[in-house]
Amino acid sequence: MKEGGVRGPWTGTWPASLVTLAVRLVLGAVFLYACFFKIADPEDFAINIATYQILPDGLVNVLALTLPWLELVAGVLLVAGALSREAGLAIAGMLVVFIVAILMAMDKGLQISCGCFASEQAQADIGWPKVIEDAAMLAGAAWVVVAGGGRLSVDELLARLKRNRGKDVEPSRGEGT
Amino acid sequence: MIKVLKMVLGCAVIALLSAGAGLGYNALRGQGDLPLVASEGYYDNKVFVPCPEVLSHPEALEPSRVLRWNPDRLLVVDAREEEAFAKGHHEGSVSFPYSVLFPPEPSEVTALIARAGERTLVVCGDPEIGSGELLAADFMQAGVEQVYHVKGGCEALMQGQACKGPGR
Repeated sequence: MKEGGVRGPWTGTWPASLVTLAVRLVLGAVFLYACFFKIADPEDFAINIATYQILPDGLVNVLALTLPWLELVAGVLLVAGALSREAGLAIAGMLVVFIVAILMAMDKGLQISCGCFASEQAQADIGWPKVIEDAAMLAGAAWVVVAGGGRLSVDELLARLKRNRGKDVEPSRGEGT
Repeated sequence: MIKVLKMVLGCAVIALLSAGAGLGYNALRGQGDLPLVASEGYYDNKVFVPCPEVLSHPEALEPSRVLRWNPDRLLVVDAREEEAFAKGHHEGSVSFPYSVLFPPEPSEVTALIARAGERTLVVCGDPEIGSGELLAADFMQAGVEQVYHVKGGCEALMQGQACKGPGR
């Protein structure tokens, strides 16, 4: 966090940055892919949410309308590496909610598809494999929250510009004194 | 600590802006927009009638095998909708429309079993929704031992009958 508040001591290394980049791209791509059908067809997504039988009727549509946009924004930010920690935290939060929802549905004995993606083929039934998949993505999101965007990110670019501007300003201040 | 708080705050801002974008986009969709609160409850209107679990698994028979049987010894039950039955059906079959949403009353099942008497029950239905297998499973659940369903449903059975031709 010393260098522009973007990188930690070990997370700023090139190998760690490459890992971060891979995690960011994979997570971002998954969430971007997942959000498009939900945005295009919120009615269908609302039914998917309702099949979990967790939320009251009044909240189903609101979540169906807002959650995909959070997936979209967080996905774009993560791929770009802008506000990476915040986007990572948003995605981690969503994944925690997904995991809890799946576990609750499993506890109720519901045999439903997860509603994660668009096509019928991509719709996996809820179960332990889905929980493990989400947990793995949660670990990735946690990595981004801890490590930040890495060297290959908009965050790093902005931090570098900020540092360079600071260097330019300092000598002139010195000259004045 | 301040950095963590900043991060959480930033995350909350992202969430709020995203929610706003989602609601705004929905409002712009015009007539096709999704109401914020469903006019009909998702749980009240029985949208989520679970697919019936097939507890018993009746054997599936090829239509050709069914057609070789003595017709006096079996009762073919047509599980398709009444309209489909009216358009055409296997000779001698009885209509017993099976709906996944509204499964038959146990008394209706018992009445049909009584009607079958000593005859073997063979159920055909709509293969796309598996109505034949589901109804045959209901008969099994009701205690019938000799019950089968037809592979390919009633259409396959009727086609087999047509292929068999007269005089054979």
